[in-house]
Amino acid sequence: MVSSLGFTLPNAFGSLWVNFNSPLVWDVFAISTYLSVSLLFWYMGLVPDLATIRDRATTAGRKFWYGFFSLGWTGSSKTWARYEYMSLILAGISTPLVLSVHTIVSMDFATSVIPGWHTTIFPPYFVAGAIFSGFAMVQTLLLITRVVFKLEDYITIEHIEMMNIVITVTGSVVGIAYLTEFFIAWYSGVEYESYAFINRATGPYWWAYWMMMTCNVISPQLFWSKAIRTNLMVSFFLSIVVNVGMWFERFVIIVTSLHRDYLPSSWAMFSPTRYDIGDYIFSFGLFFTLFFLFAKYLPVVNMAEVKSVMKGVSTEFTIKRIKPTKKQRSNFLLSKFEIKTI
Amino acid sequence: MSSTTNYILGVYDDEDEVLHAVGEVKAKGIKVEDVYSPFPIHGLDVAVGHERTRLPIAAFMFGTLGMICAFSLISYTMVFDWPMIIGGKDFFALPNWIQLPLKERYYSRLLALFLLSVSQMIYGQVIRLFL
Repeated sequence: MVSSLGFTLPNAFGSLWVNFNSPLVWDVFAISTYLSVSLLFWYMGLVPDLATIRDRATTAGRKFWYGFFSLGWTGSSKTWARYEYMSLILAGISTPLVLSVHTIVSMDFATSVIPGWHTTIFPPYFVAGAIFSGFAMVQTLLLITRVVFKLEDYITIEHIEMMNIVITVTGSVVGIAYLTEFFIAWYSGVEYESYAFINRATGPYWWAYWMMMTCNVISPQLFWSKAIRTNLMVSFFLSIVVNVGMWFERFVIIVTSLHRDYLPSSWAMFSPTRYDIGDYIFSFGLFFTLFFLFAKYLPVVNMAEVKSVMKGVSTEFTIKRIKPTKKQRSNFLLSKFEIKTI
Repeated sequence: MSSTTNYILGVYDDEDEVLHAVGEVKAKGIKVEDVYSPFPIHGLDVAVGHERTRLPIAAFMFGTLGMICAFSLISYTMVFDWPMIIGGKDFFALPNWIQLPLKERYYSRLLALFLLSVSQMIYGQVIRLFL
């Protein structure tokens, strides 16, 4: 990262740079950009809500800290205009960012020569897989959070249903990617590639492969049924199934391609050490610690955003708004409106 | 010489009323200083007559600058300073590099957005405290 900032790595022999042709270096750029854009988008979105909490703080400590992090937010229309623009820009940046970051990350595998990895389907496969896995993870957390925080009126069954539909769509793309990999492995006539896939399905790690297939291909297809995708318990269970399936996908991609590649005398079996397992459990701990800290100290739903759409989507107001004509808009005059409350 | 300025303060509990009031007030020729709200009201900044923010332009400029800087760094290091034969490929390996300046663009935009918006907010507070 030092040299990618324009400074050479310190050493006694002169300038030493990173290798910009290496996917590992691309990862540095991609993942750190992903992290910083996401962090900024998240933090900027929180600022108005932090200001709300600051205004309602009861202790001096809370007032200080929430005041500090809300950056002096006043709610002036000028700052709201800039806030909206920033949200627009960041949303516009984030979408191609997701696509490009997961493409870059897939190239750690795709630009190698290992059979099972060296295939051009990887970028779209990983992008779809990321969105698939991400939505499943969100479902797992959200279904519990909305009940615990009593947000059922704000995060409704419709929202859950929409997310399940996205899971079905991206799960189908992932399923097609599996078929494409398999087909190309045969169609290419490359015996190493063909063997890699036969090994995946029938070799010593066949159980991981079939877990992956069941969880990632079959379970999202269940959400075609409206009854299933509007059922909260089933959604929760299937989101966990998808998370497990994606874990197995990563396991299959890494282990089955590495344990048997070109040279049979190098073939071996992988067994995890206590450090691998410990690392994995640690990652759960880190994730849940951060998530619980977030849920404890910060608003889980963007209050300002809910307020701004309240009238339009709330079931308690019905407002008949007459849209102003262009002439009226340009005179800064808005036309008459009627409010009809139940 | 002291001059007195009179202000009108309006308090509303409905966003459509605010918009309507702003329209009426401006039609009478009274300048609207500012409108404070707990959530963004669509159409309000146009109604009040604020000038359009130049944040997107700044973000674009910073992004382009970031792209140019990143591209220059990569070309210089890989073609002039330390050219290496990697996989038999050309020194100027654009297909390898193309996404790095594009990422750097995000960084720069990010930096621009963050610095500009934070500094505006803090500056506003400083002004408010001292004036």
